[in-house]
Amino acid sequence: MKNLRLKSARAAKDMSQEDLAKACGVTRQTINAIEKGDYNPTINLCIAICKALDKTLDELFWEY
Amino acid sequence: MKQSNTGRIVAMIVLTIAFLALMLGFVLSPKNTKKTTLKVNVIVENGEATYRSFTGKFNISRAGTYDIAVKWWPEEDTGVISGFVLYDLDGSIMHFCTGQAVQAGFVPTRLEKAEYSFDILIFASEEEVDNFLRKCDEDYTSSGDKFEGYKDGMWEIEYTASATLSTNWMVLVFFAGCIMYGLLMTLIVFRMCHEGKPEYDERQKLVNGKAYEYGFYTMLALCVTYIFAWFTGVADEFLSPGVAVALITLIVAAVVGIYNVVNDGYIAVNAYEGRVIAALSAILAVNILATIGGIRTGRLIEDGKLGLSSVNAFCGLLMLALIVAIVIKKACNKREDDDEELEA
Repeated sequence: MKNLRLKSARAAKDMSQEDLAKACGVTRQTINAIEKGDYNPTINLCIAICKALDKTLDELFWEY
Repeated sequence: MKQSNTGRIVAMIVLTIAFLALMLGFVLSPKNTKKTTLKVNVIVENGEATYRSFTGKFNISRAGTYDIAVKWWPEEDTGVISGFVLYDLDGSIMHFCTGQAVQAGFVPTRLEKAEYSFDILIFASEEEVDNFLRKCDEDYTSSGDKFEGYKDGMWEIEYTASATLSTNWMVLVFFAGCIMYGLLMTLIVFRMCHEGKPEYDERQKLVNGKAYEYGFYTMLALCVTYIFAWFTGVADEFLSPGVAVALITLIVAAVVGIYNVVNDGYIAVNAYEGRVIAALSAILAVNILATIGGIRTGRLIEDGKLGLSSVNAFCGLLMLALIVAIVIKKACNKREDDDEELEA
């Protein structure tokens, strides 16, 4: 399932996938795979993404 | 955080052992020297030898420039002069010489992959020597120097004729290997000192693991196929066990490499795509040169089987496949980037 919240949070911070990838220490393809729902990140990477986007885990990854 | 260099140190040790084994194997290769030994009883009665010539053969399995020499024992106290003639494939005389010049050896001679025959001749008088030299060289004129030791008798003489792949060529290969090895070691040490080890992110590590899994299955399948082909004798018709193992390794490397490239697990987070392509291109170039050398020396296909140089050809193909896969993947990723920009 696509992670549109992550995509919109990144767009809100005016960051490209490449920028976010660099901030988290991963490749752009990994960010792309997370946004497309092709890859489930570990909690460590989720935390790194949340910190880079100033969001909480709930806001980006929790499914209600 | 301090990076561990254990992997690179192990790689250096393995490369050093492989390099030494390769060089030693090349220099000591029995294919480099063809030796034929003839033990003959020379009997001279009334100034005439009972047997005048003995024929031997050089079965050359690797084309190249050879130093040809003939030695005999005992060297002295025989009442005859020895001669040597090497014949070309069409039966014409390639080289000839008599007396001490036989032992001195010939100038390097180009021999193709074929069976060359030679004669060792026994001369019991100066007249026989002159006749032989006139037969070989129309312009021959006697220098006047004569062997004074002709005499009747019986001698057991052992002749050893050898054709050794010219040392110039071997030295060239040896130094080329040393330079390549030196460059490789310098590169590894430089990277150990100035850069961290390649870092793969968590998704890439998963992809790498999956690639190794598929590589393992491929290896099992290929090994089983090869064992079956070996037992039925089919494999022996096409390749030797050494080449087969090398090919299996290359195919497994291709599966692992291409799976990684297709799934974006090949280029590490801190690596530069251009540098990876440049390194692969350099290996491709070296293998192309080695393959061309193999074609020239007849080592690409030996006795109807894939030869050692075919490994270079397949290694080159692997590098080419990896480069093509990386370039195609790069183009696909660029299109993804463009789509993302449009969406944004």
